[in-house]
Amino acid sequence: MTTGIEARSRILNHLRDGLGDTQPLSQEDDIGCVADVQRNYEERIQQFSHMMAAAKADVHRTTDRLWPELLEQLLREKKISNLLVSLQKEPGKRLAEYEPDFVLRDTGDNPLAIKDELFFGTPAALTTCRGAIAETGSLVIWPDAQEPRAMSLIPPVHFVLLKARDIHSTFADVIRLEGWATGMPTNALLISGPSKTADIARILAYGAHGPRELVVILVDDEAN
Amino acid sequence: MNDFRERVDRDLNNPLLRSNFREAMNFLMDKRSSRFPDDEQLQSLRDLGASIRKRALSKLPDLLEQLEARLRDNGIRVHWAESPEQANQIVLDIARHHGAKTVIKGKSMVSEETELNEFLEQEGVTPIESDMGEYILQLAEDKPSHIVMPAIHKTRQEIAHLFEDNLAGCEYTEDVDALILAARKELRKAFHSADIGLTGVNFMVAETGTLVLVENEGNGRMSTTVPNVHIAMTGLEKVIESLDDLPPLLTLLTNSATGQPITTYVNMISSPRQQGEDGPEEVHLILLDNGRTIPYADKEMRQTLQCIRCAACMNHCPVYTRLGGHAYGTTYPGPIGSILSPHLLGLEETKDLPSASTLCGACSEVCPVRIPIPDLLRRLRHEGVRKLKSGEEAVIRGHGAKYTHTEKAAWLSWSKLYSSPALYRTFALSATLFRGLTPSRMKGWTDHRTLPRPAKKSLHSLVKSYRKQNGASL
Amino acid sequence: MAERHLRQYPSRPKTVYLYGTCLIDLLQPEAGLDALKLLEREGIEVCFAEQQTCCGQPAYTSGYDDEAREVARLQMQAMAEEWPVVILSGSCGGMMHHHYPKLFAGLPEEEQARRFAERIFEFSEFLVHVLDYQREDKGEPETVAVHTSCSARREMNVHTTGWALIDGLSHVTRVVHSHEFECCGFGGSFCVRYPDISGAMVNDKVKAITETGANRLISADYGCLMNINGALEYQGEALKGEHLASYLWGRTGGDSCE
Ligand code: SF4
Repeated sequence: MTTGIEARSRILNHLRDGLGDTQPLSQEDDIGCVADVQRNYEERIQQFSHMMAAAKADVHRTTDRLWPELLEQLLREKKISNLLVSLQKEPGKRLAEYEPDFVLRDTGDNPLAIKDELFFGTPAALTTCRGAIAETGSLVIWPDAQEPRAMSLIPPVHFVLLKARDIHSTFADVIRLEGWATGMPTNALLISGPSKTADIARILAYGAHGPRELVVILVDDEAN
Repeated sequence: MNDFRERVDRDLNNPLLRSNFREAMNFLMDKRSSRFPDDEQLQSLRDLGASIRKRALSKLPDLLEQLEARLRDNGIRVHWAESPEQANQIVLDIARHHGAKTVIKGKSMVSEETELNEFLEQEGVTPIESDMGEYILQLAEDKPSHIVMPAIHKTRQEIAHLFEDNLAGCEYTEDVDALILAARKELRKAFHSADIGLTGVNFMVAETGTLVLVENEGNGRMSTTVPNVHIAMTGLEKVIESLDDLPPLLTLLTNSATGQPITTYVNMISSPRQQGEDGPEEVHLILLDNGRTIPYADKEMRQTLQCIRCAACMNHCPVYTRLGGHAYGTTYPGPIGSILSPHLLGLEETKDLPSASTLCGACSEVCPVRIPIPDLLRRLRHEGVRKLKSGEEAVIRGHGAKYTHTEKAAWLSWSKLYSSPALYRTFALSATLFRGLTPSRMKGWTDHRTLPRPAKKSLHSLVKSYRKQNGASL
Repeated sequence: MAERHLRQYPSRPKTVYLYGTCLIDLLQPEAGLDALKLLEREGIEVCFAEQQTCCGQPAYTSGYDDEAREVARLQMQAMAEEWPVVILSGSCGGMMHHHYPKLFAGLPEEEQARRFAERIFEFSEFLVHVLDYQREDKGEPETVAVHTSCSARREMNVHTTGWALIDGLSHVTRVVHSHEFECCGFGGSFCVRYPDISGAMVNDKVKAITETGANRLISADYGCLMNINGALEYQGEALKGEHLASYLWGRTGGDSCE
């Protein structure tokens, strides 16, 4: 596209001309700051759970030993008989060993192949997450081949396993502590509740396009 | 655009619209203020927000090149468009290349700006809006009246009728959950089969080559996940320098816009799908200029480009609250629209907008990135009524569009009068305030108010006699 | 960023300029005289500069910078001594305090304009922050609604000082009206350019104020008062807004100047 190349250089030239005598600013020129809120382990859990609840997500605190049983119970309550999960990941393996009373469906290794199934035959999915953010009540998810993006998007109910020690205070902490600037994945997500909309007369409705329910299974091994 | 006054008339006299907007804006204002209980923290955060945006703009060309290089390394294709026509053509070329029949759209104000839907339809490609608000408007063949809540002018009843008439098997219901469910079902089919997903972008991170999309519904994620091709379309000013700049701006954006601590989804895209992953095989970014480089060249007006499109300025604007968004006749209504549209469309087309404000400052008081909107409105008024000096270059298209000899002459005599104590004294003896200046327009004033009556004696003469009686000095 | 500066206030001066504003001069001069007497009662020498006319804001907000500058220049000349300038309107105060330095930027008067701007104090701001004004309330009990002009609130940050003065009157109850922070629709030339939008705004304002059932309406800005009073009278309401200076003077034992 030759016009594209011309457009590019014309735009950049305009901008460079437009710089005039203005100087580039650096971070040292910034003023203002974000209020610093540091929370300890338990406070992070509390804040996270509080914010999630406010966004209509369910948070269940449990232990590593007990979570498969809890999940089974939740699925039973919701009358869901099968769950999409990656059997190549730790939680999938645990569930397979546990032999729950619902059907485990593996994501396999070609997420594109399960598109129809995701759209038309998957009531719920279980994924892991990288961690969470206490301040805003957000899950940090980097989808990958085993746990593709669609898992946290298309099924009506999304279960997420979160380890309590992976809850950070703020998004800024996550970016810094995990060194995001040195390499971003194809897709990084913050998920802070079930899908929702207020586009009709400002009345909140859940399950606009994504999951209607978000259920966080918070595994806290320091709680014993 | 030029019949702004007619539209004002129309919308001001629509009581349902008036009360709708008043209630909606009250709601949004309350939501926002409940999220900022500590004013000192808020002010400091706004300082930071403004700093981040100013810093990014101060090196915009470099950052855009850095962004482009990163995106290219990551496998995302970058296109540059000077005009809406170019941007639309790029979309069409991509669609043609893939033999695409449908484009499913996440919310994108820039695609409203370029009137992409109309263009694609003419070219035989079907655009489908998937943001619930935009979807409603597409069914109604209507336009957004607000940049964050596009269908805010539509009542529940109107939407219920619309769905009943347009969605197969949907009966009339005012139950919002049922309405949303009906739309969800319809749009799921569209997502499943769409060839291309097209969205806007909230922020672009130069450091990592990351496109950030913020939303609650999940349609943005659907549009960027399910179709094989994703096209992101945005104004070139949306770039920020580093990932560290993102969290404060996100906080400011979502809290200012809808009073949410964060939106349901923050979707950060840095590449097309890699081996074994899902997501689109191709990702394109279209960077649109459409007049943005014009205010960029002016130190004061460059601040217009700091905007992060939170809509807080319109939510708090007493004029927008009374008119709604359509009266403005532009893609971006309200205060931000009145300072941005003149650059996108030229002052000739938009000359009434900068003066349709009391300069009350409610907008700049809440703007999360501290854009001095009243100052910019005033500046545009100035450019609108000013003649260029010889050799001077216009800083805006349609410069001087509002210039008239009569008005200029009126202000000149006003200025003579008030800069000459002697003249003023004579005037003060006989004057009524605006009568001499704009006599024909007092009609408007007296439609709602009685005329003020000049006092028998001016303060000047009252003070004089008071001093005479009391013998005070000075 | 420019907006956020906490103002340093001088100690009590011997002499001040009183700036009446063009609207008060012609339409509500009693408010000016009441302010003058009130300041004198506080032991301040008041100079009412003969040559003062208008701050230039009407031309400035309409985009006529040259015309505004001519007028602004006269005001700076008329009040050239290094005395504080006490202004009977937050809006004109905002013009002089905020916009004069910008209006003269890059011109020989820039420095003068900046120094002048530093001497500008809105009336209630001056009473509270410089004079620490305290007087006994001698009036009957009543309820008062207050309208603060947008520039007083947002450019001068003095809505709080207006409230403080009313709240300092022990027999007065201040009531808050709905959307008190919202513009009354005056906006200088706006109200004649867009009379219907302005009318919609002032009608809402009047409704909000009358709904409080307040006996009185007080404002420290005559521009807004002219607008609101015009609408009140048009609608046949008995309520009539009064300038803060007259109200304070009247309630603390001052004689009426009529
Ligand atoms: S101008 Fe400021 S308040 Fe208005 S939309 Fe832009 S960022 Fe938000």
